[in-house]
Amino acid sequence: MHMTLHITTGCTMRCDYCYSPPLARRDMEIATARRAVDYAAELYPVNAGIIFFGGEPLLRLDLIKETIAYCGEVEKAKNAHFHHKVTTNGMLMDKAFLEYAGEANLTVAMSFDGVAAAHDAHRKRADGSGTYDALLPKLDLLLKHQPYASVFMTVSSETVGRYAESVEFLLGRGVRYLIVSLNYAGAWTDAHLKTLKKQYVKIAQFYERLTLAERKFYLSPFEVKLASHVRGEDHKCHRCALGMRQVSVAPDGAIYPCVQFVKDGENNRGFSIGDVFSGMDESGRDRMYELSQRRTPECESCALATRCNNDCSCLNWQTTGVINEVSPLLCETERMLIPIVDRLGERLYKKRAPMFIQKHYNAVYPLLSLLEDQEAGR
Amino acid sequence: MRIRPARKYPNPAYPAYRLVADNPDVLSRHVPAAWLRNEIVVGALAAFTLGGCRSNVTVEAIPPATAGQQKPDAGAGGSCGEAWTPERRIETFGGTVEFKPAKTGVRKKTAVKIAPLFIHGKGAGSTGCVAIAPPVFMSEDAARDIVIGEMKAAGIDFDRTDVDAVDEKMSDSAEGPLKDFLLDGYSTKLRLGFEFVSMEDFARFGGVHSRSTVQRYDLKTCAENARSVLGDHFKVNVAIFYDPMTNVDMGRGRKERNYPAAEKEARLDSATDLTAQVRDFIAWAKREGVLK
Ligand code: SF4
Repeated sequence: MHMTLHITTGCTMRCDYCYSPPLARRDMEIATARRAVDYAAELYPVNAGIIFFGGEPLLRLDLIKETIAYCGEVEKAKNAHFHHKVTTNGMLMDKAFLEYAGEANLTVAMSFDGVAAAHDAHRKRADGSGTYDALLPKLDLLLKHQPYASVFMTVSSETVGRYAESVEFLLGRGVRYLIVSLNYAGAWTDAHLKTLKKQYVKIAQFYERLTLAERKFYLSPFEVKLASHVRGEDHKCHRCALGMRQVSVAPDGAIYPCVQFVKDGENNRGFSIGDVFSGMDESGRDRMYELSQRRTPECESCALATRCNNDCSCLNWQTTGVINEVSPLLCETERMLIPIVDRLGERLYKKRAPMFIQKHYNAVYPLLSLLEDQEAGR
Repeated sequence: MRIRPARKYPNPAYPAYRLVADNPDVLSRHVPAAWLRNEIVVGALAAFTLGGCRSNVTVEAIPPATAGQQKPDAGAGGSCGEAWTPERRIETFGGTVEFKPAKTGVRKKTAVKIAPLFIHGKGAGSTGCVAIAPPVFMSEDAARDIVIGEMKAAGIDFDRTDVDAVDEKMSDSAEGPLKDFLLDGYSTKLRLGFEFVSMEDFARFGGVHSRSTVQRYDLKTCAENARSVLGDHFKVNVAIFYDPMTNVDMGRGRKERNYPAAEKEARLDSATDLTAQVRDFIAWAKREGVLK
């Protein structure tokens, strides 16, 4: 179970594709954060994930530190276990923070959109200037402190022509976990889709080269689609499952089933499923979950239904306004990506590429990979 | 742009996971070059991926130094406790530990019987961010109650618990995994001890702590490792049991998604599995003459 705490609606940047753009600033009180931690320990004492999110969460580093310290107290008192993550735009990240993150076991994930032209197209300051030059050294610093840090990259219709170049750039820069999302809320045309297809083919070729060279990396759109065949239905165990494995907590303590529903923390109450003070409305959550699992008749009849991202409720809601209704754009891009990834998987398996086989078929691959890195670092 | 369901889609020509899991040779034959140059990784690959009942790490994949120049007999490695099991050399927090194969039955030097593992419960699972069905872990105390209770019902009394095996001269090693090792229970009359391999023993018997948010525990493999260590150093008969680690089933389709209730059910299943391990041991021990 992951609990994402939206600790502030304030932000140091003004990315124009943001799904909850900063309006009036609201910050979480420490009492609310503490209550959220207690509640997470009740729900999932085995290993609850506390994720700090915003706005820009590093605006409230004080609150992050207090909350993590409180988790330590709860661990001792209640025999619960926590792990911590923060997702940042990187502007306030510095050496002192990363040293603290190392000591506190706080995993840091950063947003970065690739080459300068792609990154600066959307990731801007309030004055409209791009942030690439300021953030590239911060990315390097993060990778130095946390080599396995995830980097979140967004691809929009405006930057799709630089998708492959940006992937190459970031993996070349040392990023090992690259999580890429398309900005489905943007204005995509058929011409953009043609470009996207070419980019996917290029990325597949790049993926193949890297894998044959036995490089280790995680590139989310490709890994997820490979897993959707290799693991079958099991690959869905990695998904958030709308309120079942992950919930979001707004600054005032209201609980939502996913980050995108929180918005400004006030004006989307219809999707709230309780609060950290009085607990979760389990029947409301279950109703929402069950609705999210109901496929439309079109998807039900589709041969790709189990491999498609048709059940990402927040994405559906964001694009169609209905949590179980897919957008035509999602349908087009899924039908485009799956065959490209399958041809890649076939080529790599035919060549018996060792890294492909270990990465996708060996359950302890992460452990072996870590051991290898530790040994190499000695 | 429109929604267009795919009427047909050919099955891709790369295998599903279960096919490779049923043919672990695929994993042993195709190992990245950098891993093959690294003894620790190869050892871990052998122990965690290819070890246990289906061990069949081929010599072509494992450099001789790591494979111990011990070539598997033709057809060996197909069943548990038979002619050949890979060496297990594993990095733990306390340093490198080597686990050699253990054989079931009478050990000539000491005339001590090392019971096989009795498999009830898969003894493995993961906790962490993507682990949606985490296992329940059984405490040493809860396990001791079950083992001692079940043995007592069969007329076997364990008169001592937490026995320092070296001080009591039951063992000839206080190093490596046996450093500060206490046997969970011991019957002076029968010269029979038992060890329950719990999460607390994970690192001692070869488990490796992950640095990611996901941790996989394989206590069954740890129990197999414990067998090999105890078999080499103990001068008394020892039974080894392991935590069955039942997963908490919070799956879809269940009306109740209440963690405490599901956890309780899982604990009950684990207790049932451990009881079955003990009963199998008693039957085996009677057949082998360890118990009259
Ligand atoms: S590809 Fe399109 S029709 Fe098929 S399951 Fe996905 S969204 Fe539905």
